[in-house]
Amino acid sequence: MQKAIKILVLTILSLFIVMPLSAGGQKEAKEEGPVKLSFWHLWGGSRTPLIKKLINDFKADHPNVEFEVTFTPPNELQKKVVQAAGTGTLPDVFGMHTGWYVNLLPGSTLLELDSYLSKDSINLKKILVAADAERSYYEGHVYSLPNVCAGAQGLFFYNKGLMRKAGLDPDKDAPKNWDDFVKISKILVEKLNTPGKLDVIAWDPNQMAGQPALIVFSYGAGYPTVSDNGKTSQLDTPGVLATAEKFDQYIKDIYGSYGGYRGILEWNSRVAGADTGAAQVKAFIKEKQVFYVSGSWTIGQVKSGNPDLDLGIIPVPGFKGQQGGIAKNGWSYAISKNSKHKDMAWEFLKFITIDPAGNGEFCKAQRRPSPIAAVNDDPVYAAMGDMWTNLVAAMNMDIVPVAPDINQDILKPWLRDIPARRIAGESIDAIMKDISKQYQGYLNDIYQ
Amino acid sequence: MEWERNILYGIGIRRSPLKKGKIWTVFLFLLPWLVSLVVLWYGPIIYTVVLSFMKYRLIGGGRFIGFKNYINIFQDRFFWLGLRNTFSFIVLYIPANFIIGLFTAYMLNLNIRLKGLWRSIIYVPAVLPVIAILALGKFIFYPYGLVNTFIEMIGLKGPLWLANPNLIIPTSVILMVWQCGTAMIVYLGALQAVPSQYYEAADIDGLGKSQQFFQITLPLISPAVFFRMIIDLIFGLMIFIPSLILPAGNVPGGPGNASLFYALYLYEKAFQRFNIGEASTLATILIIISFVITWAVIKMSKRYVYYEV
Repeated sequence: MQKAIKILVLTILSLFIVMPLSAGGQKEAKEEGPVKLSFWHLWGGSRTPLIKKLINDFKADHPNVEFEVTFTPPNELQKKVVQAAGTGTLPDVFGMHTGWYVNLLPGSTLLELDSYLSKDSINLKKILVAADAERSYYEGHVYSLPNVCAGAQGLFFYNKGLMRKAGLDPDKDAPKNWDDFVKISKILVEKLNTPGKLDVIAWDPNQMAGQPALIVFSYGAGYPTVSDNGKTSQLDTPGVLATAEKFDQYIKDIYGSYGGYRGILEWNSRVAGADTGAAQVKAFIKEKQVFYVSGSWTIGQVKSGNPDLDLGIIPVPGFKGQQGGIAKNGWSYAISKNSKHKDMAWEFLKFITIDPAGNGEFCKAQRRPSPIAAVNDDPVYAAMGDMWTNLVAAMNMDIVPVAPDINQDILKPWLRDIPARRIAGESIDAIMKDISKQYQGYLNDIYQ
Repeated sequence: MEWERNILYGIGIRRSPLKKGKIWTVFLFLLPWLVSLVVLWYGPIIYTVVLSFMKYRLIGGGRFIGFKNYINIFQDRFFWLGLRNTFSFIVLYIPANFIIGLFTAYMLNLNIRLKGLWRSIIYVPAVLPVIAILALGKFIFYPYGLVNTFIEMIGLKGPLWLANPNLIIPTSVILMVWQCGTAMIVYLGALQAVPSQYYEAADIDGLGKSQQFFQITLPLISPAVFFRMIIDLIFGLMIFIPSLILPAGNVPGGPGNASLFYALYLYEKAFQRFNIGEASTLATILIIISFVITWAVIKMSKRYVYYEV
């Protein structure tokens, strides 16, 4: 028995001794081999082949580079990136939203890119769309570079075919302000449905495929939903409450005879299949919804989902007239401060952000505007006709809020909850005040 | 030594206990398990308690702030709302799981045809991932889902199960009880362990079936009921997933925060707001609540649970 105990003790001890040594051995072996970059991105679905192409194109010029690629859905990415930053395990290059800077403490976790930019004589303000150049900076330094254009997040998409079907002229009758929009919505719902059965909706203000409509319209009317320093919720201020009330009235006016909020919820379950923002685009593709507010990224989605759909894009018909997309923050790529291959990571970062041959192609393939200004002059976009012209017009009409971007992932579910709470009998004012309190709680935690 | 004998007896060495001093051999073999228990269980619990007294963020470290996190949490209405919703779930879930689990076990303990098949059918949902059950359940309880379609067939308008603050917790309970197969197996085992002589004697004494159930069956399976109650209680305190999957509009904790369970709020504090200090405070309070309730249930069980036949 004593011999057995001795063997057991020696085995356990030797394991404790050997394990760290073997880990160290692996580490050395890694550094001796070819350069291996770890890369986290958020582009799944139809964008997966585009990411593969980006990597292969980069590898063609850098044959010694190997990649360890990880896809993470956008709604999971923040948690993953912040946790990795906290534990010092960020990958070499990773996707991030510039709205997360406050959670990432860039100075201690991200590689400052100023010296790399000056070494390569790159002036971001000269090559990027203004809003995208602006959002690359945090406290005066560049910590990330834009991956897609954030200048066109609040666009109004509409189905020209359904407009014609309702006896409207899709170009002349395209709404130019909120009052126009309400009138046209009424006509559309009346003409495209049989009484008592809601089959095609005009728009649902509480569904959102990108920026929440409440934020888009409120900013457009001059009522920011968060204070300049980003620390105070303004969701309960009179201007924002007025926006929420207009949306509430819209549901009553347009869908009152179909059950109001309940009618919309039922329509969602019957037509859209699932009640998320993505479902809104799905319903649009199925030609069961005439309008939606979203960013330019859904153009490719709509075109591939229903190539025959006659898609129109116009600036948002705001309370004070047409307004452009809201641009402050958006998707970017950054390099970990702990990266062991900073120079190669920088080369890759440039390719997937500010290089027309890399990121330019990635954006063009999706027919979405590029953060690289020159790429947007490519004939591939001009071929999109008035859709592109209107999109550029909306981008140039930018209303750039001075405040940091409100955290959409947090706020969106609460706004999507409005119909259920209205059905339960809460007033829109009470709901908005409650959401504001909740959001303030979130901001207090973030800025603690 | 007495304590050595007790330990050895406790771990099953009954016939030939090791000689005095050899107890360390046993401990040595138990060491890997003990180390993992301390490092992977007690270690994180102690660390969580320490963090609950700190202002701590994932990035940038932390500092001690005394009881400030506790004061903040006790003043936070979502803490109380989370507790209320969690206990509402527990109050419905434990009796429902008990009644349905025991009823199915009782039925399957009778002499019925295709008993094995029925057992499998009832047990299958228990081995499915909860998320799959809830995703399926969401379609069943949609405004135009299976349930409302049936209700419409009898000429009524079905409720908005997933959008009504008063119905979201009962709907969650219905779907979670779908997995009663585990409880059913436990109760079935307990029912089969009840000696048949008791029923024979009761028949001779003229006791009816319901009297037999309440006076013989229930007391004799009470250890199994007690075991399930503790398991369900702990499960209920940690309930989390239904509030993420079920609410209309994919609103975690919705509608109107009616399904904002305690564990969901804890998760949000830690991984959406990255306020690790307050999240640890919530976790510590949950540990204390679990401990106190479990202790109280164990104390009460002495009056209601019969271990000797």
